[in-house]
Amino acid sequence: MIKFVDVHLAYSASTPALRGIDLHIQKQDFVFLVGSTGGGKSSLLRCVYREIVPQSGKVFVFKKDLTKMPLREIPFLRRRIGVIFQDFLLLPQKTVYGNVSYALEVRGAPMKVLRQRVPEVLEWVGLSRKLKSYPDELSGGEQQRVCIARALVNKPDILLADEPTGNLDPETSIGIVEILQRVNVRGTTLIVATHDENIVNQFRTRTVRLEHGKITSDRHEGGY
Amino acid sequence: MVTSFSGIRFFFKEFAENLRRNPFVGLTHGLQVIISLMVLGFFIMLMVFIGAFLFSLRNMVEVYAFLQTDLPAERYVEIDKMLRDMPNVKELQYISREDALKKFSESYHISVEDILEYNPLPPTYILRPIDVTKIESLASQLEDIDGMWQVRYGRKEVTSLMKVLVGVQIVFALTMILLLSATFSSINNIIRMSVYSRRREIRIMQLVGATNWFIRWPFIIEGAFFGVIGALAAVLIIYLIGEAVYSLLATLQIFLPTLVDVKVMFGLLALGMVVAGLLIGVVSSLTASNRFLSTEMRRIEEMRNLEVV
Ligand SMILES: Nc1ncnc2c1ncn2[C@@H]1O[C@H](COP(=O)(O)OP(=O)(O)O)[C@@H](O)[C@H]1O
Ligand SMILES: [Mg+2]
Repeated sequence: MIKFVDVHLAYSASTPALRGIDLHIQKQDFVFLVGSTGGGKSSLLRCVYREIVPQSGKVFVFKKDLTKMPLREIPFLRRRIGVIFQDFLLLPQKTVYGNVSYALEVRGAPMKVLRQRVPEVLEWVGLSRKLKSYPDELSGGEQQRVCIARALVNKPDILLADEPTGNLDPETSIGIVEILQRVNVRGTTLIVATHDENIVNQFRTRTVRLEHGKITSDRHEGGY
Repeated sequence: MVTSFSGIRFFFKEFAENLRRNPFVGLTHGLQVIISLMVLGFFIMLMVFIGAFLFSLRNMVEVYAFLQTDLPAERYVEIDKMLRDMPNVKELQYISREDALKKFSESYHISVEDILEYNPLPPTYILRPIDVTKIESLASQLEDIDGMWQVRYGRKEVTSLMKVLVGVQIVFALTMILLLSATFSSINNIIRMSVYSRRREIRIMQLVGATNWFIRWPFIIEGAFFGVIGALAAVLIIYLIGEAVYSLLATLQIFLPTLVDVKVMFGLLALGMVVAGLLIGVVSSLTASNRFLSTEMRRIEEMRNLEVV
């Protein structure tokens, strides 16, 4: 499903971010990306949804070589990939419902689909009673659940989470990753970048460690 | 591109949001658009008036050549050929004695033949010079022709006035280009501010897979809106000022010569300005949003060209 072949990436000549990454992630995998800050976790995820292109090597997603993908195909790639961030990236002037339906609207989905899918996915993340709330009326955990709902409403094949619990307290963090795990169980490939030991130890799944742009370990029963 | 009704609904919703979010920017730049377009409209009207005036002056740079009435038939043929071969003649019109008489009778509502019992009017040629400044030499050439009775032509002052007016037209045309670009940059600024204040939305749209066209549409609608509203407001102001000027002139007992049909001209002007506003709005918002959307691509390209060690 996702394959990195000898990927090198640098933001400038003096700051390499990925230095020869070889990585293979299967359909339905649940992978933690760990490592200290600046190790290259975010950069690796950015390559997957093609926000950046590495200078050398190949990135395959859905069997397509992203380093050769023409610009006009990028939106269609991203419709199959959900992304969530540490800073939730919600629209403050839109309600919970509005924020989620936005993701469907911008790809021109018909009203019928919108009315059915949005409440469904919000119920799934446990926010049925907050449809009309605004982001600043929600707790951090709730805001992150809105983001998950927004990423899921397009029914993506891959879900990427970049430090999804970075702004949350430990208990809430576990709750968020539990939701992500449920997404994975339903068949979505899941990659979670984090430096939160607690979470990684709790879930015990494949864990890839990145340090200074290199993979230093890749263990199947994980642990930090 | 535009796919469904919900897509179109979305574009208008986003557009309304843009307006709501930047009311001050919209207002000030909107005023600039109105003022530029209004001045533009006045210039166009002036140009049309001057154009019509120039057209009416054209008659004054015609050379009328009246032939004698008693020449032998072959001589008329010779003269006709001679005139047709003359250089510096743009247009040549022949009016036979009969036609001249008919015209004369029609315009004065009298039957000349009833009074005189013969046709006193000579065969006439009307010549228009290519170069109006050489009208005198053309006239003297014609006078030298054997069988010519009389040559008449417009005064020299007319040609110099025409030159001045053509110069004025050129200056106006240049000013119009300036005004058009002012309108363009006002709308461009509105959209740039609008795009900037929505960069968060744009980022989210890009992340969830909106195409660039989908992202652009609300801004295009916004640009078109400002162009069209600006044009309509400008047209309205021009109309009101025009009405005021006309009624003022009427009370002062001054009546302008009717060079053009003012109603038709105003209608065309209004239509033209709305179309121009629309086009400028669309093009300038496209440029503004493209500028923003292409920065990401530029960044990726720059990274691609980087040498890694
Ligand atoms: N947008 C950027 N511009 C320049 N350098 C960057 C950018 N993002 C990350 N980097 C650099 O790339 C390296 C890897 O960063 P990143 O992928 O964010 O690591 P992580 O997510 O593991 O903290 C770091 O040295 C960081 O400074
Ligand atoms: Mg990071």
